[in-house]
Amino acid sequence: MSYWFTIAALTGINVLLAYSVYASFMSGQVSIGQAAFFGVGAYVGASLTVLGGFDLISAVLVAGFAGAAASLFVGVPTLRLKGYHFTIATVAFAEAVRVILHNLKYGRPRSSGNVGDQWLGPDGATGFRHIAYLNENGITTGQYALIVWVIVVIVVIGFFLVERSRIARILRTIEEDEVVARAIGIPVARYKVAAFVCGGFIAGMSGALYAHLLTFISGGDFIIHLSTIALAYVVIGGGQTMWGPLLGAILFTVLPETLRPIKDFRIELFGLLIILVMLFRPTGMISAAAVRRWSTPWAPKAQRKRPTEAF
Amino acid sequence: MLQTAVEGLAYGGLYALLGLGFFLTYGVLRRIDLAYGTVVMTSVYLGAMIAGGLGLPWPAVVVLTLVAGVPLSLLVAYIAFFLIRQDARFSMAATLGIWMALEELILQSPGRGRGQPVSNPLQDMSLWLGELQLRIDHLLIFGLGLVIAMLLVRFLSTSRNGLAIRVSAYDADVAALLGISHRRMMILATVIASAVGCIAGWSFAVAQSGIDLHFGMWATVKGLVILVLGGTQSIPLIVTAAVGLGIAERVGSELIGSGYRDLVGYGVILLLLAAEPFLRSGGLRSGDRR
Repeated sequence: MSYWFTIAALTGINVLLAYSVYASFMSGQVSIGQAAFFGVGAYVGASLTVLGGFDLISAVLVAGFAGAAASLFVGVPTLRLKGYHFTIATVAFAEAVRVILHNLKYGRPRSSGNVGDQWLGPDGATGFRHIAYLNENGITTGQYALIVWVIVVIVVIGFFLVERSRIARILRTIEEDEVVARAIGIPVARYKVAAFVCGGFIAGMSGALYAHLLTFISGGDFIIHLSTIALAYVVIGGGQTMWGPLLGAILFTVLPETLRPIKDFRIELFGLLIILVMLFRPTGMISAAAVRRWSTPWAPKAQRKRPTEAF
Repeated sequence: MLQTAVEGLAYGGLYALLGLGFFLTYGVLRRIDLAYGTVVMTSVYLGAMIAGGLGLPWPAVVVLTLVAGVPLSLLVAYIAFFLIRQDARFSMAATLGIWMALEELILQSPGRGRGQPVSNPLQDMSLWLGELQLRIDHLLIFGLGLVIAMLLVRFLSTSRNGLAIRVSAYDADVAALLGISHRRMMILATVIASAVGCIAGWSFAVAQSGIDLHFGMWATVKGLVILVLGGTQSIPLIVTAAVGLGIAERVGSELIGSGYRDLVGYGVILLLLAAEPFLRSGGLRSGDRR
């Protein structure tokens, strides 16, 4: 059972990661650097509970702010540039953060432990071991999964509310046509940065939750593949509405675990699926039109059709 | 210090080749090919594996790499850039998918993703200039970068096809009016880009006496860095940026420790992108001004 709780917690963490990509995706910006904020969050969150004696929730929140600060650092200078340059900048930043995390060493000696394993805190390439908060405080995996999912539900509700507000309309306008957005008086850069920083906050929280679940992290965990998989959740699930990332992340965390035979070929299938989705259904599995259709089944047929897709 | 700078030259040559590959795909197709490095890695990997298995001499590795690499690149370009046209983001996501699938396939191939040895015909041959050691193979990589860059400049500025590629890159509609098939130019640019990439991958593998899985991602990221540093306007600028980065990385790693070597490139790219609005000329921006 504890195995499934682990999967449940991991699913929640991946959902958060998917939403962190989705936040800036709403304004049309593709980030392949979420691993950086995830990694920063993981290291900050773990350091706070292990070395700073924080409790889990405050550590996760502070980790979120650390992720947000990191994304502000990248976002402010680069989001003024057009699409690609921002994407390249996120890749470069993610790699830079990985190199730094890989070389980071701080902390204090551990009283117990085997020879060569007597360090509390990140130890360069060896990684950050003994993030034992859950064990020390008697939190079972099941309870931890519950904590993770409470946070997920809060984030989902947040997106649900945003999706129905002016903010989402503004972000979608920016995605559709930046020039038009600017022309009607939307402060484009400010909204893009805000969306991206929200994504950084969510990624930071997600990273801290990940670190406590795994109890051992190293710079190698936060390679660019993590960012690409996070992006894939959104792209496959659908980037037009908030339901896409949710479906994408849940499906592609749970499915490989239940279908053993495909687990080994998970990444290939994943890659293949991205190509197929882009070829045949570039809106992703759940499109905005589909959500409209499902949410208003009683609407007369003529009204179901909108002149343009939102994407 | 001078010794490290000289070693940096070899990396500069390699970066120049990778940058040129990206320059051709981005310049003509206006698409970012995130699968570029992985395709190159896969081709060299297959070439080395087959040549190693059959006991063929080293030129066979080059030929096999090209035989594998060019069709593979064409396939990637066909799927990601030709079939998926409506949105550049979709194309990029598709190349992302190809990258993931390809890398994982190599990991699960009979080779299990382990490094494949690539024989180095110039092993242990060096020139000595006083205290300075110049490895022949490193010099060769640097020379290869320069020669291919010069050939490309010549090709793009004098030959009919080269000029056609440039028109096509400038504006596909204008090209069509002039009777140039944009599709043919896409194919041509892809073939050249992949050949350049394959040669870069092979030469790197030779200098390292082998190729492994990490080369793919590394090559893509470095290519993107060069693309940002050098811009998409002039080949000499790209080569200069590449050589500069190669030397800066080596010297930088000498100064701040080898663990942080890659940080130099990423730091430079972030600084440059941050300063971009103030630097109105050069860089990617001028490439987009159309």
